[in-house]
Amino acid sequence: MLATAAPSPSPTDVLRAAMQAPSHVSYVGEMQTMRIGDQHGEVAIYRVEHRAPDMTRKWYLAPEALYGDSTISRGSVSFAVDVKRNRVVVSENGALDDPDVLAGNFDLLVKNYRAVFGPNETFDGHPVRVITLINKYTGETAMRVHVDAQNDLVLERERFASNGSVVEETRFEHIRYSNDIPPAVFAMPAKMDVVQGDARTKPSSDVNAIANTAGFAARTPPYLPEGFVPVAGYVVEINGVRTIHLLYSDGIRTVSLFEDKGPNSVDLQRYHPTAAAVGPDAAQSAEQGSTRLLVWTAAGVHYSLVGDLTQPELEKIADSLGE
Amino acid sequence: MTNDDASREHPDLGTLVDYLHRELPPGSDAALLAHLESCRPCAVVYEEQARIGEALRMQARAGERELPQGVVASIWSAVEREGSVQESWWERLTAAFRPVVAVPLLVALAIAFFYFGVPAMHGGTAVARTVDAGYLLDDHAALSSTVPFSESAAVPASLEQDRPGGNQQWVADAGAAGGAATH
Repeated sequence: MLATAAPSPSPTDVLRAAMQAPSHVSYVGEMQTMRIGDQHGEVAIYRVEHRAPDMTRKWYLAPEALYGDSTISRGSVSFAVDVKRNRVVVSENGALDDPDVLAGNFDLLVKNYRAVFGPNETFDGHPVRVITLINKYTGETAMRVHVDAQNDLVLERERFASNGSVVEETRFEHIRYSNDIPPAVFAMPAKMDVVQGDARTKPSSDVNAIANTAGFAARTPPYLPEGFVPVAGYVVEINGVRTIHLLYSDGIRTVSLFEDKGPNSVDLQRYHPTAAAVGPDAAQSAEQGSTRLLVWTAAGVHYSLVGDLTQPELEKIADSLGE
Repeated sequence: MTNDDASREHPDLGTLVDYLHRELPPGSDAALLAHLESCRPCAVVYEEQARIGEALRMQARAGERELPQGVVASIWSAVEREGSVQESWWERLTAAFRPVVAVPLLVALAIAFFYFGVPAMHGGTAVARTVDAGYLLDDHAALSSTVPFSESAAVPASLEQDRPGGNQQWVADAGAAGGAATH
């Protein structure tokens, strides 16, 4: 009797395995991250050590201003080790405490994007499966990932603009799998000041309920790009001002909407803002790598849109808030 | 108070404060002015009230100190919750206090709250009134981290900013804490 061959995994199966790989694969390597905006780009090179399931340290080699600095992640808590300021900034991200949210967002990705295999390749000596993600509504290629055929880890990831240009690329330069990374690598250095950064609470998936607890007439955008849905949100106090943060996504791209009715204003100077308009209201736009910001005030409410969408898309969302 | 009364009798403190804030009818205002020019004790009280009011206003303006923004936000929230317009809030306030008393009182309350109600701020830096856009980028990246294959900003804002986060606070010394991440 002939043994039945195991069915080949689908592209979606490979993607799901890739998403879960860091929880059981430990590695050491060097990574390059590049994010390209219309006016400015952002590049970083760092050595990375990851001990499964959830400890990661990144040692920055470039840009020069960050040389010697590092970040340590231990689950939902992260430590930014700032050598020049002799401090460690401790932050917490409650969003990472809920694996169901990640699974839900993966389902959203599968709903909005078609995953197709490309020709198998070799990447830095490792055989990889190449998967392209194509937007089901526009037919545009949004992302391509190179997944290690043996360990399921994503070794290279490219994200594309709607015209096909690369807007983001993350790739390993060298990678070595190892189960012998000592825990001491993830210890916080002594003799440094410890500074409390942001302690972000676990978000809610009920975005409308979040908007209703703002304490002012918060709005949700009537228009969103096709495939986008509200996925998470919370209320946060920034400088003591009650602010709501709502996140919308299509499974790959994301856009955040911040709203507050306090005296705060957003300082964009570091990002070289340019003048824009939202309906009759003056606005400012800026970018950090491929992430864009659009900031304006209407009827006493401060709005900020932050996301990896085009400027016209952000303005269209902004306009819909005034309807 | 008639003009003659004002010029003959010593005004009480409330009337002096009303005069200071130009709240008296024109006739009474003129009469009180005449009284102050001829009555040194009342003039001393008047000048003292004027100095106090000016000092309070200057303190309030110094260093752009204002009511802590959390208090401002909660006041606005309460106003909105009641679905009322600003006039009714103001009307209630003025019903409890005459305007001439309410203004310096509110200024005094602001200063008192600043100096005694919030010890962490006393002698320190004034509350920032702007939010660095890096904070919004970080917050966006944090919430987006649940999206598959997302990559946080190449350069974390917490390593770029002098003031990380929306509300930086001192916690402890790492050496004293044993030098290990214990979370």
